[in-house]
Amino acid sequence: MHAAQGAVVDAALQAASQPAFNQPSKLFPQLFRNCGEGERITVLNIGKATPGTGDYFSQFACKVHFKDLYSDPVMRLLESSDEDLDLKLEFSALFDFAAGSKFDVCLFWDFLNFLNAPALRAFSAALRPYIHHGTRCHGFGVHNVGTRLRNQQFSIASADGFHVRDRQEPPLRFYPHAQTELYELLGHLDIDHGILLPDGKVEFLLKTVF
Amino acid sequence: MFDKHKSDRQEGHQSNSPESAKDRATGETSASFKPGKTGTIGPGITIIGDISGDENLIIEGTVEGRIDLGTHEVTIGKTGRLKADVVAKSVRIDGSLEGDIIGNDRVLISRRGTVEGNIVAPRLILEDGAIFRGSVEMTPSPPEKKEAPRSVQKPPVAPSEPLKTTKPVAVDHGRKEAGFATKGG
Repeated sequence: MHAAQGAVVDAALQAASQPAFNQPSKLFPQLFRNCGEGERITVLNIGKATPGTGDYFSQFACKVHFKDLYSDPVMRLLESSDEDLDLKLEFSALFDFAAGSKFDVCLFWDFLNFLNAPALRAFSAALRPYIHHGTRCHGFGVHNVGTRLRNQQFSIASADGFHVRDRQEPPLRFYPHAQTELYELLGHLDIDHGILLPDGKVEFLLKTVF
Repeated sequence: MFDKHKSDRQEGHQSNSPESAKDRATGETSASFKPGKTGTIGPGITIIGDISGDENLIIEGTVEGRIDLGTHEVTIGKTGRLKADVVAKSVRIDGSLEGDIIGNDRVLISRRGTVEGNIVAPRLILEDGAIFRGSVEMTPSPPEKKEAPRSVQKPPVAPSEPLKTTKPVAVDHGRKEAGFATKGG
């Protein structure tokens, strides 16, 4: 199976459930450096609203948008027929934020791995109006395209760590992107830092390049 | 005395235990508000329109409209279904709500609760399993953490009196309500 055409996450890997755990993040301190510095920050969290993430941001003057794109119907459409979809339009419709909204922090978690190349490009383009030159984004990629990610859900555990647990929902089709490909597809976002994690994930800190 | 009652109610809110057999028998909700202080909209009731008042409210029925109980608590029970904007001191959701919430103190979405809308509150508490789609605007509440802000409050209410006893509390409520009025979007 070609990685570029997408691959269903290895069933055996997903079958064995794993207890929830916390994992330290060396990138969170940079990501959250402006939290609590007086200015109200605006956050985009791709994924479910979780107790940990809600708790963490309760400490600060902030506005957090929770967008659970993982379970949005558009993701199932991507799996079935990505030929006729106007992806930019689909993602723009999902990003129904108030005009003028700008995110200071974007939490992608592992969402980018579930978008094929055209979808990732469309996602990035749809996000463009809502980010500014100081926006910092966080996400997970893979060290190499042979890596398979577990079907997991992430949330913030603390200022320097995140919480990981198995996702309840069935896994989405997996599109691993090499870092060079990711760099090209994200367009106005660039990888500022990347840290290899023990399970073959790479934790990214992204910055804008405009 | 009031504080005692209040803390009883809050404990009742936070205990997420299933309703007791007595509750089932009496048709009361799992939320343990004190009778007389709390109104209840039963599961068989549908209200289309606005609700305002001066006591706490438990909603087990269906409401479409707007609920404004500024300094009181609203509990949407597990059978409660709302298409409404809610303004209250604190809001707990065990059922489902489609609309915006302004919680002067806090908003809690329990493990059974579903909210689709935008929330403005000093604090949002999500229990594991809660479903929330929307945005939350949070400003941590200074009075809960520190006494210091009270010194700033003395001119509006008691300019001639030094800070003491219950005055600052009264000011506190006023200030919060002022905050409400200006929130909006």
